[in-house]
Amino acid sequence: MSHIPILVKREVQDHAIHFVLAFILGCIASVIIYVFCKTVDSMGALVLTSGTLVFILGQLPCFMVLDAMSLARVQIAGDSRASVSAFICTLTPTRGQLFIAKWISGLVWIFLAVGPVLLTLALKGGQLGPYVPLIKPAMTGVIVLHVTGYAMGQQIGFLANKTLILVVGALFLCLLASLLVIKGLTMPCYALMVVLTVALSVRSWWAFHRMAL
Amino acid sequence: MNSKYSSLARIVSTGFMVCMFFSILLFWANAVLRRIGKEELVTKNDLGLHLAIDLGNRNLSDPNMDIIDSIVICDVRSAESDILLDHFFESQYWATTGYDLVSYPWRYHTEFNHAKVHINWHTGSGLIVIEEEQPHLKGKTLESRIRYVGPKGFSGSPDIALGRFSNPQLCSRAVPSTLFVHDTDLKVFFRIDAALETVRSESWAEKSIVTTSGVYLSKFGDLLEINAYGGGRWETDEEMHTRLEKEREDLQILDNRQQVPVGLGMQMMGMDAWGGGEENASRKKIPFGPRIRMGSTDSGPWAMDDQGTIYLIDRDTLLLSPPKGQLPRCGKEKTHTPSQLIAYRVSPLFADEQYLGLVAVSLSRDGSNAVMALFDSKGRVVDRNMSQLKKEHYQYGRVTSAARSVLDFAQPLVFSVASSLWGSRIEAIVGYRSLFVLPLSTPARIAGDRTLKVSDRVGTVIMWNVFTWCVGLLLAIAVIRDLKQRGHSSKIQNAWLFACMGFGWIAVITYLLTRPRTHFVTCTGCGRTRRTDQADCQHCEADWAMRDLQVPVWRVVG
Repeated sequence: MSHIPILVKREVQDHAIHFVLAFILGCIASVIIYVFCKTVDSMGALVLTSGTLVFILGQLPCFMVLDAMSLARVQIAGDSRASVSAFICTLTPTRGQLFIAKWISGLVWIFLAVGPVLLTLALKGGQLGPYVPLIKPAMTGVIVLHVTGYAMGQQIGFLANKTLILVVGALFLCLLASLLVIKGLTMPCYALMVVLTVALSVRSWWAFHRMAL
Repeated sequence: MNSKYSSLARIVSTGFMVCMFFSILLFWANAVLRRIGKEELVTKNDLGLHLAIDLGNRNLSDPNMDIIDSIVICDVRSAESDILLDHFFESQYWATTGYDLVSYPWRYHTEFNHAKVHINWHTGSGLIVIEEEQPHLKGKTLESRIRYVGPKGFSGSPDIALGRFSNPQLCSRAVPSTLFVHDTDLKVFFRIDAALETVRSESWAEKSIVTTSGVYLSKFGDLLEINAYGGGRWETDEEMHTRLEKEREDLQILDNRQQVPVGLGMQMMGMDAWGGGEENASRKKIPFGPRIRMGSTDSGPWAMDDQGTIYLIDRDTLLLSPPKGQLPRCGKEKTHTPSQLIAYRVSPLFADEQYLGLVAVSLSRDGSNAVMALFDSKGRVVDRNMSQLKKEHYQYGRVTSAARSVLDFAQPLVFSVASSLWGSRIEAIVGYRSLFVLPLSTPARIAGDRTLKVSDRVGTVIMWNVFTWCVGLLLAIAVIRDLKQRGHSSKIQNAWLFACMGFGWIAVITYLLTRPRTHFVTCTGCGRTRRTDQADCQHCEADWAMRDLQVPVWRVVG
């Protein structure tokens, strides 16, 4: 287990562009929220509308799900193509540790993407007045969405055919969107996504242990 | 983790993923078919009541009595409209009043001094927060006055001693300084007087109130903005005409949006109240006029228990009246409660502050039946009207219906049985969003059809599930043949047999995705295909060693 921090560090360094992008997008979203918290009209009311808030809390992170999927795919497929995993497995780390390190780096990515927004909301969220109760379910949904997106990206990483990658990726996105539309930002939706994430991770674990590195 | 366990986990996880894709595919296919069926609606059935006749043509003396109006009895945005993110499934139920109803709330003009009051419910603290924005005078901005309200009183700061509302619903804000709240979780009514800063409560432990005539202070923080702390007066004729003119223009825009028949599309009744000449025109175009709100929050709060019995609530004593009506039965479900209806609406009728009766409308679980009932002031049914969508009356109705039945057949046995057993127990509005247990599927509808005999219901449902089971069995045979060819043990074959019979296509697709990739060669022993990764042939148990040549038993004769 002592190898895991080193492996996580390697994952972050190798895919730094994704982590930087996630942090920048998170900061942009948090700046937007901060500005809206401060901006009031001549009557002293918030300029922020529910539509804008839904965009900030919902749609912007939804675009970032694509980056989460992309990161996970590159982590699996890129390492395999460059024989990085094969080299590491000749050393002491096991495949299981490699897989866990990838997951931890994925969670780090999610923290970097959502962290600034959460921090801003924690500090200034009280000023959003009527929208305060909206924050908790929306942010829970965003985090669960990112985790599921990351697990889906790992599955796509095992595919070699480009057409298949596109088709499966589109199917996964349709699945996510359908779940959100049908169930809404509700607990049953989150529960289904969590179970789906577990199912995807089991498949990824199995495939990672048997793939030719 | 040994390989055997890993394989099982992989099969289960793959099965879940396939199940998700399969259910979502069926869901959208069903939604689209429902959409096509209703879009092509060409025949509309009437649903309406002539209130003027039903309530005895009372002639009340009020300055606004000359307004004869149509009313929206029920304006339902069904679950489907949320799901498809549009207004395709919006249903409006119209009826003419045919009655000179007074319009107190409309004629009563509130003069406000630009002070606005925002009312929010904060889930964290469980308090209702009343924020009064002060008017801006000569460039000066005064700080807002915030009062926190809990079940136990008022405070200037959030204080846990105030108690906690768990799910408050705003029932009435007719008097600007008075809020009338029903906590649906605590099942307690609260009367919040902002002027006196008092909170009164009354509960009815024996009643399980499921709904009231209120507006939800939702967890998403509805912003309720009311003009408060102002005086009231009757508006002048000029003001009234200006307002009505503006409303006509606004409603005209809305009217144009309603050109496409929607939902059950209720034609209006009692057209003679509008003048016969306008009848034809009004059939295509709803003649909007100034709308009189019936059953609005201003006309008196009402409550409904979980059995659909309707009560009025006394504003001062917070006591429930004796039953004033019952949600009308509609649809074919065995049980009939508010949770079994996709929508319902109750509209108390008040004239000159006198309670006349109420109109109650029910829309069945599948949206094909609507019933409207009128009750008098003593809770007796005065009139009742029903509307039913008939498949043969709309284009593609039979086609979409048949296509949906085929989709129901594609449901695996496990889900089909679950839908039959528990489908009718699922809350109607939740059922539209259900992915696995489908209350609107054919077996669920048959099982819940109270118009059929019990024997017919049980027999039909069993037959349906037997057919579904047969589909699963055919799929299982195909899978087992493949398993045998691959030389899997009888234990694995049996497991897949039951999986395919239970989960049908889901199990088959899972099998195809998870079966081991093996290569086959012709066995030198028996001539059939055998796996290259096994020491012995799965058919004749021959090893890989070449057999000695044997003398054939046949001879060439002649």
